[in-house]
This record gives sequence, structure tokens and C-alpha cells, in this order.
Amino acid sequence: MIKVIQPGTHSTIQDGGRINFRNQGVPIGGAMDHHAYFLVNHLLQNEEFAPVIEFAINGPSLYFYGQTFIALSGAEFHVKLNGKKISQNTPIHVPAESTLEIGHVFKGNFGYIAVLGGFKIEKVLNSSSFNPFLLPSAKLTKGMQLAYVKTKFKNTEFNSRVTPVHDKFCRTKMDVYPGPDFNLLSLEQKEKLINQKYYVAPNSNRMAVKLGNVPEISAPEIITAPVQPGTVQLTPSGELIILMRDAQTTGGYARVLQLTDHAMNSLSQCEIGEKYEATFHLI
Amino acid sequence: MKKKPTISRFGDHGILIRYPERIDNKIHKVLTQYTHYLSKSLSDLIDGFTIAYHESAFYLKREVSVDEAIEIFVKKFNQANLAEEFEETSIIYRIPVCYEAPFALDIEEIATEKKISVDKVIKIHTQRLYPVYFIGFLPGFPYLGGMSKKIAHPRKGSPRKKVEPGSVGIAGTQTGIYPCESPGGWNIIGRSPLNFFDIHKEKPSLLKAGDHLRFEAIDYATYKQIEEQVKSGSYIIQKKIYK
Repeated sequence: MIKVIQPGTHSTIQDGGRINFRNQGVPIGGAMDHHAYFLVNHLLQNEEFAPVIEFAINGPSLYFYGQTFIALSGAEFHVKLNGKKISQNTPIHVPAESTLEIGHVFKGNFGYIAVLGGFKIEKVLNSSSFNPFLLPSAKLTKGMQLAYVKTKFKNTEFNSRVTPVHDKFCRTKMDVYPGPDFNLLSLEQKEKLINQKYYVAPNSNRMAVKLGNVPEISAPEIITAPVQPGTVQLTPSGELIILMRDAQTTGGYARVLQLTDHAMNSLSQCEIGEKYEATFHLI
Repeated sequence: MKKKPTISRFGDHGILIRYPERIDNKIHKVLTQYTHYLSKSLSDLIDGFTIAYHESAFYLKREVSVDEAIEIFVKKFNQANLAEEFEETSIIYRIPVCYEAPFALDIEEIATEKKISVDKVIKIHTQRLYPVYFIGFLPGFPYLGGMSKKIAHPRKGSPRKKVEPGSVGIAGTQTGIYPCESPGGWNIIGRSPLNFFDIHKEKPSLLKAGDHLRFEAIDYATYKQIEEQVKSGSYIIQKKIYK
């Protein structure tokens, strides 16, 4: 068992998300950075879609009753095990009665903690991912007890260490497809949309990322139509919004572009603020 | 509907089926039938789908190639004989609603604004058969069509922090039902004791795209009675097949 000493700013349980319920209005949800999510489970040879902890801004402090292994990845953050600094992107042995303290995230946005065997968390609609309507309990709170699946650690060369997922957090180049409503734009508007240098604006979260430094373009509202994580919406007032994992399943703004999976993962780690550049690259 | 839709890529793993852009019962009916047909006959390839007014999206399993899947979808699409295969899946539900205090928070405001009686608002709201275009916005939230303009009323200036599950609302020319507790800006005119989204069911959402519903006014005592029956699992929802 693990006890939550401090939950951190916004720490939730996440996995691959709720597939197969989107026609019933259920957002897919799941880890923001799938690359880092798969990596932490891979390092421990967990099941591919085992639940992990995702945190942002300030990470949690956890107390481990028994000995086990953990893996940390995603953003870069201050982390100590029993007062000593430990590495990310490699399996870490945690002795019994240990305290793991994760401090401030200083590079990127979302950090991930996997435990050997994976967290044992209730599933609602085939997923343990936090959702305010379906699974509000999958959010870390002070004093909460977290169980995990007991299993033996197999150390191999294969999973002993990996290179970090994102080497550059400050320049995010997003590969994009033309969206279903791309052709609502004139050639000139398309060029402005693609060639602009953006940044991630405040008020970005697990539902949507808002872009700053937008060009002077806009698109009329559309009749409500399907959207998915990675859909880039252009509003009548000229805002650009990129839908993220917790977005609704349908939307009424023009879908001008669609990010690739890889671009979604990179964007999730692009920090808020004008000094970090985000650009589109049409494929 | 003779016109064929376009079938094209939507991101790394998506396929989009598009009919001409308009809210049209005929387009929506054909779209819904094809989408349900394809989702069943190609369930091995997909991880889910979304239906809206004139478009539906299929999300493929990660290992499936989009280009190959498009060919399969087109082929399946051309084989489908909808009249035989999917007529039976559309259901008409009778949805009991209590349009009284303490549920009908905004019904008097609408009546006053429209210069009609509260009873008239209820009569207009319960008169029509509403098509369920699709489920979106919240888990189990139905986008309904066909509300009378006589009771249309703009969204509230600032949304309520908490709207109770089962609340029936009006926003502009739309009417809908809140399946779960959430913040919301719709004008609330009543509440239904039914459970519109039950996570313990194989299909959690009571309603689906292509269904229809009719609201039926009930008094407070009946509301309480049905609420108890829903809790104990003994309530039988009145429904029939839509022809």
C-alpha cells in the first residue's frame, strides 16, 4: 500500500482512457502525454495500459509501506526518495517505509509515476482515469491509500534505462493534418494559420490548449460535428483552441487542423508563456 | 437519400463520414443508420464512434491502417441494405417530467416572457415527438430536435453552479436533459425521475442517436413514486419501436 501524504496541485490516476463510449457523450480522457505514460509502464514491464499517477505544477508526496519499484518520466521535476535525489527514466527500487517527495515541475507540464504491477484502482467504463462525472475518486487526496498489483520485478537490459521522451520542451513543432473544415479558409488564411509562431496561452488545461499570438483570421461556427483530442478549432472571434484528452466528443467551431498523436504528446508538455514557441507543420 | 457521403481521414486513427452540412431529419436518419450498421459490422476495427447532425466519426484501433480501413468502409457502405437491417433499432421513449416546484426553476420566467400560462408552456413542451440527434456535451446528454419556437428562450446570462441530474432545460430553440450533476446555463423547466446515464449498465446512456422521445407531465407525488421505483429497479420505462 501507498499513502498520499500530500496530493500536489492536480494529481490524478490516468490510463489509456475510455474507448468505445464516445457515442454516449463520454470523453476519452487518459494520460495527456501517452509517450511518457507508456514509457513508465514499460520501464517496470507493467501491462501497457496499467493505471499511473499524472501530476502537474507540484507533484505529490507518497509514503510506501512495503518495498517495491517505481518509474518516473514525462516532465522534469524535483524528486527525492528518503531525502536523496533520484533519477527519472529508469526503474527505482523503493525500500519499505520510504517517503517519495516530488516537488516543483521545472520543465514541461505533466509528470508520471508508475508502480511495479500498476495501481489497483476502480474502473468505470473500462478505465481508471479521473473524470469529474464518472470517477471523481481517481484524484489524489491527502491521506488516501493506493493499492497496487503485487508482482516480481524482472530487470533486463531492455528496460533498465531509456532516453527521456522530450529533449526540447521549449520549441514544439506540431505535425498536423488539414482538419475537416480547413477549406472554409481562403488560401491566404491557410498560410497565415500554418506559418504563424504561437505560444501556449494561460487557461490551458486537460480539456483544451489555447494558443497565443494568433493571426488575424476567423471562421464561422459550424453545425455541431464530431471532434477528438488534437482537433484545432478556430472560433468566429479568432481564437485558436486545441482540444486535449478530456474534451467533449462534439463541437460547433470550425475544425481547421488535426494534430498527430505525436504532436498531441509534445504539445501536452509545451509550457505556458511567450518564451516557448509552438508551430504547425502540415503533413 | 440518394446522395452518397464522403468518407475521409480524420487524424492518425479517424475516419469521417460527411453528408451535406445541414440539420435535416432525412440526412440524420440515414447517417445514423449507416453509422450504427458500420459500427456493428466493423466492430473489430474500431475503438468507438461519434454521431452528430450530418457527420459521424469512427476511431480505429491503433494497429489498423486508415487508408485500408477507408476502402473497407466504402465497400461495406455500398453493401448495406438499411431498410432491412436497421429499422428496428429506433425507439420512442415516454419520459415522465414533473414541471412543478421545486424542480421547475425557470418555467415562470419563460411563461412571463412569452406571455402565456405555465400550463401552456407544459402543453407545448409535451405535445411534440422529439428526435434524439445525438449524445454529447456530457455523458448521456441528448441533443434533441424539433422544439416549438413558442417556448424558445435564451440561455441564462450566467450558468448555475449546480444543475441536478434529470433536469429538463431549454436553451434557445433546443430542449435537453441533464443526465448527471453539472454546472449549466439552460433554463430549467422540470425534472425527470429517470436515470439517463447508469455506469453499471452495458450501455450506460438510456438514449442513443436515432431514438425519439415524448415528455409526459407528472405531479410531484408521481415523481416521488417513480423515483423510488427507479431506485429499487422495478420501474419499467414506457417505450415502443419507432416506425
